[in-house]
Amino acid sequence: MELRDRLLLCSLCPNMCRFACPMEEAAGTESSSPQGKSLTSLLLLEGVLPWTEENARPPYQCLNCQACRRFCPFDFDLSTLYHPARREAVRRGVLPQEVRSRLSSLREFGNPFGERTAREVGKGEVAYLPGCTVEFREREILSSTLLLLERAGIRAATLQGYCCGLPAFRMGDEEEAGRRLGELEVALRSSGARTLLLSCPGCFEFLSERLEGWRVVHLSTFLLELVEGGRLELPSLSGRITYHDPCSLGRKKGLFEPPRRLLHLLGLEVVEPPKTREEAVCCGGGNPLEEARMVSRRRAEELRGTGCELVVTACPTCKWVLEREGLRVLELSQLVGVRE
Amino acid sequence: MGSGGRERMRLPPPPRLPEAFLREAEGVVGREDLRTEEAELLSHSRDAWFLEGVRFLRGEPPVLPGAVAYPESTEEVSKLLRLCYLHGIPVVPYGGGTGVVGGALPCRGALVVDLKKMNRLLEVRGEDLLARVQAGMNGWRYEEELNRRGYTGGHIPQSLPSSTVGGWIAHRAAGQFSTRYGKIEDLVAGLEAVLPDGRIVRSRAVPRSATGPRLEQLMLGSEGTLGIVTEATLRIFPFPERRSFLSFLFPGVGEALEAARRILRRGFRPAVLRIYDEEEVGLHFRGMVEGGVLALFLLEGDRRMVEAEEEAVREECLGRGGRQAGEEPVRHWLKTRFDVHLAQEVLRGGGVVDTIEVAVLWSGAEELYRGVRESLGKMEGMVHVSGHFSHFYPEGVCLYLTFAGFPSDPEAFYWEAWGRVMRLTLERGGTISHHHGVGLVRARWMGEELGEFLSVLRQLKRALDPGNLLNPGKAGWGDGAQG
Repeated sequence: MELRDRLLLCSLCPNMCRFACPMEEAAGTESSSPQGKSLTSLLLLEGVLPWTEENARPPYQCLNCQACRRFCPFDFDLSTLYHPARREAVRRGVLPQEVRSRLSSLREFGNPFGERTAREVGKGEVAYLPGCTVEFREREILSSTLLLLERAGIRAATLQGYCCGLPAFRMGDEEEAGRRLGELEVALRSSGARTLLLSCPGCFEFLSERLEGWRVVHLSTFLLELVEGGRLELPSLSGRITYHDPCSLGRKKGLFEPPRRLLHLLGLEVVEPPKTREEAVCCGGGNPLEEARMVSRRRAEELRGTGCELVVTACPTCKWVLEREGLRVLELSQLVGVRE
Repeated sequence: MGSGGRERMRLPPPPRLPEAFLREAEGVVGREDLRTEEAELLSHSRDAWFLEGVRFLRGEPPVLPGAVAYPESTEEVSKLLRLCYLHGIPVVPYGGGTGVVGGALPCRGALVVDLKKMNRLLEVRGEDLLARVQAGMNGWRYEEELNRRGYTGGHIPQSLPSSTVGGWIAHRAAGQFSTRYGKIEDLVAGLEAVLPDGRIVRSRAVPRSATGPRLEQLMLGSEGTLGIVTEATLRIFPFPERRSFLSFLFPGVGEALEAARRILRRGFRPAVLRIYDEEEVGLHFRGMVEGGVLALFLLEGDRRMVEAEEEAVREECLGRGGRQAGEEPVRHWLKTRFDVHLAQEVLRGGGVVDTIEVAVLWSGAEELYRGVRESLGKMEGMVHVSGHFSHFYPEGVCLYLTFAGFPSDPEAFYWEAWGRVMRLTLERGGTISHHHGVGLVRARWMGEELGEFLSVLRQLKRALDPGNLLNPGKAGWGDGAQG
């Protein structure tokens, strides 16, 4: 079915997915509902709606979390439906202010945080891409992951200062995304590795669908393989924690079990939040719009409601975002790497 | 040309409300919550009425409101309405936009008051079995919050994932589990609303009261023409201890209806009871059951009550020629009950499809069902007519019809089909709407339905809203009601 036909069907639908959209709940506006976003995207693309910063906002009011998909009678992936409107917004330079600022940072610095960094590529059997949140906001995850790889006897080539291209792609800037992806591929080749290991589920989702010739693996799966293969010993821990499913790892890639299995092997009791696994609510972290912050707050509130003092997740961005909302959060490698 | 072979829409210039009004309205809700960009206006130019979809596909210019306000409190709604009253600006309340009769469509230059930012469950009183909730709360989120606390609201309309509490009240809605828990009018214990001049009125949440006519009854089904509901105290129920699924295949509609009538007469109240005719069985349960009329039962509540109900249902169904068809059809219904894709496909394919729900006494139920099926079936271009019965009472039943066709003149066909069902229903003493409401669709038959009482409603409307500002033209009792 043509893209515009899909947008049209969504525009005509009474939206049995509406309740599941965290951005609609946070923004509270009709144009941020799935129907509103589809209608706006369609009519912008058709030249019916004028391209203004305000009219260009609804297509960006999607977290790409796919929470709506389970309830869509047409099984649409709405995040892909809004992409062409975002691409056109970039081409025209008509962007919500937060998107404009993120893109300018991505184009100038290669990361959404506007941080300067030097590039570094090592050599090894496994290439490890920490990703922008780890490099600029969660350095401890870099240390704990490298320590685990060393303990398992793995020679890892760390790719520092590289971007997978996803942040630019999500904003509709395919050119910038392509450039970053191309640079990463060159670095990957020079590392000599055949496996690319990722901390970030977003990088994992994006690269596993684009890189050919490499095994692309998320840290949660990789660590579990090392443990089950006898190459890595786990500390023995105890206590109750709650686990937050990152959208790109769980709902989108179906990896609900590896992190839970690791937590179980560590000896921890996992208290599931009311919305978990397929239903887990996005942390709001990947989207620059102001209203995404409200999504983070609501998810943090729900996780707090479990009564657990510690939240564990398998995504550096989810960790960073949820900690910003006052929770104590650890990423998997930080737990697995604990010395008893 | 737009996509899907439809005409490219022509967007009219957005109406401009007076600057002084906009400044004052901005002062009430804040700059962020007073919106005038085209994306917001356009998003509020639509609801789920079929003909509105047809007009959209034809590329007809949408009717745009002048601005959209998102109040966050009852006081803000009050100030907005007062402002509109003073400036003579029409107001259209908006919730989830899932109404199917055009009740939420704006008039040009209106201020849409969208309640979605008033979305909190304010209080759950377990001992009293009451929940106080803001009118803009999404239905699914409301039910989910209650479930987490060990309760159910018992109000599960098909629109639940998208509709709001205020929309249920404004349209006098009924949920799929209503035979046990009641319709929305049975669930509202207390209410808060804002009148067209900005006055805030509240009724106490009490079990019952004999202090004159109740505010709830004035607002229930008022379709936003007499006031804007801002908060409701709704009855809730302990989350059911047990659920049971039963289904039976009957040789005909008459036998199935008779079994249902006897179950209700004996005092049993199955949470869900649905009787599908053969066409609907073919449409929704193909490959699961065949050759007959299907009755679904979902029983829930206290374990012992459910057991007694199971026994009575089996007794009556087997005694009236029913054959057990197992749990699977009920589970299938539960899984697919919010799926509405067929209507969108037919609409996009250039066809006409709609549903009409009416209510009738037992004594005329089968006759009405056969009459409307026969009448609709004779129409040129009609390709599908089917029906099910979905809400049951000791005295009668709701008949829910679906029709689809590919006629040469869709709009004429649409109104002809509606006219036939409305006339036959009125002739047999039924009511022309069980739970979808009046909106723009049924206004033309309201005189026949209500008789002299319609003039009483008109007087009431004029008394409360002399400027005819609140949702003008809707529901058949305002000046200039359209049809």
